[in-house]
Amino acid sequence: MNKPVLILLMFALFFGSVPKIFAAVTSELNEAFKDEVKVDPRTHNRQPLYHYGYNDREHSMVENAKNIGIVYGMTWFFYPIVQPKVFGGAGGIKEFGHNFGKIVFDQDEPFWNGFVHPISGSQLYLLYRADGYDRMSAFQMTFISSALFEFTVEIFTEPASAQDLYQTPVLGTVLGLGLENASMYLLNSGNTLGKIFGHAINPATLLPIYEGRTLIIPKLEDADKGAMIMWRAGSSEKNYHLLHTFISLFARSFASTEFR
Amino acid sequence: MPEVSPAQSSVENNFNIKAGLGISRVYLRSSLIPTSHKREDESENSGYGFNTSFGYKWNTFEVLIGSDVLFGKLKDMTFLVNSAEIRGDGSFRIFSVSPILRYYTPYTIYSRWNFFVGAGPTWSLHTFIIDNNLNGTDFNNKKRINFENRGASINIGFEEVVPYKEMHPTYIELGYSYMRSKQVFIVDASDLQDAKTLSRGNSKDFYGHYIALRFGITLF
Repeated sequence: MNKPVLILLMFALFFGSVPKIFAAVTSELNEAFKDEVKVDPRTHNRQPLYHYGYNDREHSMVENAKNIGIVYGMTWFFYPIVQPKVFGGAGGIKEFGHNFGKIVFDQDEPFWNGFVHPISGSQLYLLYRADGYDRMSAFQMTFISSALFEFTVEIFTEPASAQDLYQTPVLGTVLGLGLENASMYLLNSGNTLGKIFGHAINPATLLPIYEGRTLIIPKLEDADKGAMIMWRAGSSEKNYHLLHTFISLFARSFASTEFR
Repeated sequence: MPEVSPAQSSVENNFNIKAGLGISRVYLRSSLIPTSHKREDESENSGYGFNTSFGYKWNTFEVLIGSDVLFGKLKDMTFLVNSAEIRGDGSFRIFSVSPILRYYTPYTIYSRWNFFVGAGPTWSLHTFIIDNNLNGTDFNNKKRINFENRGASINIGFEEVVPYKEMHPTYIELGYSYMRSKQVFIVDASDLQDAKTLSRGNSKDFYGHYIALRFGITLF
């Protein structure tokens, strides 16, 4: 199969297989931005309808293996796209055998080792965080995913590198932690531009796997003052659970909220 | 120093990731780098950067993988590349990675700064860039001279004893790291996407050490 046909096939496969993901992201975006503007009359601050956060939970080994497998499959898919030299004949089984098990210092510029790899590591960390992994587990999953990529995918073109093995998960996690905090602050600001930037730096919050968004619907009637809280449970359940709680704390908080 | 109190750090028996900044004094020596400094073959410079580590801490021991990334400027350095002298002002960067065994002593100062010592082997990559070529050779600032080194490091420092890991305990550490070159690479980085190794060879005549002051926090 010649090179242009192979590239076309890859793109066709890509755009053919992900409309579901795009549709989910679009619906999440629509939902995220449709909420009305609510104002606290005392402070004049916006009152966001959704609260964004992370619900850390335990994952079974099967779930871990499945998630590692999905990310690993994605690396097989995306690597030839971001490294088109693979289509040009670079690499191959012979190169794979030659590079297998080797760790070297790569000669790449800081743009790659200090910028691109940490950014990709940070997004991987945020992806696992969105799926309910606590910070350390998200780092460990990022480490495994990154090492699998280095030792079994990238070696088609070059040996695994010490910088990538270390900096992708470690600097990625450090950067990811910063992005996580910044995005949560922006998303919970209730400000539209803040939400756009919040989703932009942490796009995993738009994916269907994200479990940390909570919808808070204030109930202002005197008879049942309080709030209805709706959140997404574990991805395995794939549905929303409703909880009606009438807590005096919420009642006090929302009783004074004015809606426009 | 008084002995550490029974209230131990909650970082114990736990994985942790630490990150912080680093300041270093780098001493390099090689027949390939005669400079105008104290000795013809010696160079002494400052480097700035950051340090990170991840590891597991038991009660008194911690096993971690640590890394330094340092950047600095060099003045009037000369390299011999393929028998040609390349001279100019430039910069350097260091990436080092090191598995470290750290021992937390039973001693503290000011009640809550726990004294520790650590050591381990190091692997590092030194990159030199010549920004302005002073002797008219065609070695431009897109080319890199990389030394791959082996060595070892020892560190002493203090870490804050706090009841909860979420309080991000602070550490401050003084490290000494020695390295000796194993291989040298001349790299053409004109194409950012695909740096090309122009030549490589064994090298044993480049060596150096740096003293680094590191400080940072346990992130989680």
